[in-house]
Amino acid sequence: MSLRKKNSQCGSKKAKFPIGICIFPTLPPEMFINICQYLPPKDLLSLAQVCKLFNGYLCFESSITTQEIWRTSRIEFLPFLQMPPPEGMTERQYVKLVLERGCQFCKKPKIRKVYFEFLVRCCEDCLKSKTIRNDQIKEIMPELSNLDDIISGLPFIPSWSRRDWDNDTEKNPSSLYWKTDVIETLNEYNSIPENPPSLREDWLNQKQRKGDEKMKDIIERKKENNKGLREKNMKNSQKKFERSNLIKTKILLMKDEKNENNCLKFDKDILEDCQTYKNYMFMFQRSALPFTERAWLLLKNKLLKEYEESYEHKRQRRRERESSWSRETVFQMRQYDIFILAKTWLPES
Amino acid sequence: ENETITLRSSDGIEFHIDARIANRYTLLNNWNGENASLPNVTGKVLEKVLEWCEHHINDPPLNYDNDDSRRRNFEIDDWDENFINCVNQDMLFEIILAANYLDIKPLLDIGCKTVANMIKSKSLEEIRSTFNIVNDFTPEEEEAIRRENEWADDQ
Repeated sequence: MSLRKKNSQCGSKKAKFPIGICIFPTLPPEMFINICQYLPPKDLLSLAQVCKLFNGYLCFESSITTQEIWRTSRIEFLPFLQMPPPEGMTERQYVKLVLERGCQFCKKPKIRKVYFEFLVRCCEDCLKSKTIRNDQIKEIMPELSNLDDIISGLPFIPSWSRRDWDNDTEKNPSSLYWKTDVIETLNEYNSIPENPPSLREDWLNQKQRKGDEKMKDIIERKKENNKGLREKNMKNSQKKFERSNLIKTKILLMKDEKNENNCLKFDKDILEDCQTYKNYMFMFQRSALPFTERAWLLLKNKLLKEYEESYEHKRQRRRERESSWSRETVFQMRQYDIFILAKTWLPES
Repeated sequence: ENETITLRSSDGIEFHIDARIANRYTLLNNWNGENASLPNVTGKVLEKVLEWCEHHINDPPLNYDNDDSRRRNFEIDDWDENFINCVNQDMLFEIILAANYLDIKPLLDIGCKTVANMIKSKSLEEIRSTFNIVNDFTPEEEEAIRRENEWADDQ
């Protein structure tokens, strides 16, 4: 078969943009699912917003198939999110909660802190406005003597775990509850008839048991997630280290570059005095991106420009100095410079 | 040994292929014969599919009962990558459809992996422009999706 010829023929088509409407959305759902199994949840989140059809496939929460797509992807690609979603939450919602960024209430960007107690991702201000402290509830409802028992089934953030960001914890060490949860629970309790008293007692026992389970679940989730974050941070700092080392090696190689006469291309002292040189050789680097050849070219050009400027500056200064000297002195000075320079060309003995 | 069978595409183009190919992918056998032709698969697509089959004629048979092993494999080998990269996008989807229709699972997987790679790490707009998909959400629906709070939305 004349395979080679064919390949080169259709190779040119590849670069072209598709004309007309793509047949991707006309694929049968099985094929769509097949494609999805190779995609991380992050890409599924984007895909779900592309068009109504994909949105239908990926956001049809009551469909077992939809759940299965997300579950497969989560288990394959998110090692820090292996526990199934909490009760009442779908796979997509769970992934969205953990992967997306920004406060889900005020939309403040870059927020990534997830409070697994309340299953929200939000900034500290929003958390404060939507939660209530244990002692505050008591102030509002002083008539309820068994308040602690009633809310004991609700998830909470204990005082000690908020110490680093919540100044109130020092004055009023008290657990934090989700406001609407508290109101709902109190209403539910009040709607239970007082007699016979066993009704309320049974309700309390049941809530307490459920609450214990919930808190255990929350602790496990936090553990899993923290472990993931720690690993990610470690990987990131490893990458930063590698990047910075690679840059340093490249710069040092550049410093040793020789011209066609086998002499050093650059004046060491001038090069080492360039701001870019100092930045990359001695300062902490924040980026963890892989250092590409293109990035190096850009960096090298920047460094070269600085070097040229500084070199030109040095010559200028010398010319100014020389203008006040006699011709002979200048001649001797230059000869001396050449002598010093020539010494570096000799092989070391 | 050199037994061949004849396949006819939906637009009437005939292909004479090694019988061993048809034996590997049982569905192809159904269309062997003078008058039988494959509905749904055009000559252009069938040619590509058969080109792939011919190259993989000596592959060890895959065990598809174990679905997990298939899923774990995210790599595409060099020949396949070259093969799939030199078809245009419409052809890629045609190949996926044909592979599905003819039940050639490895080719189907390669096609799907390729599409997945085209989606990976792209923004919403980039996905739309890559596949030329029209945004058919109304501005209100779009806003609703963007504002959708995942949980505990009590505002």
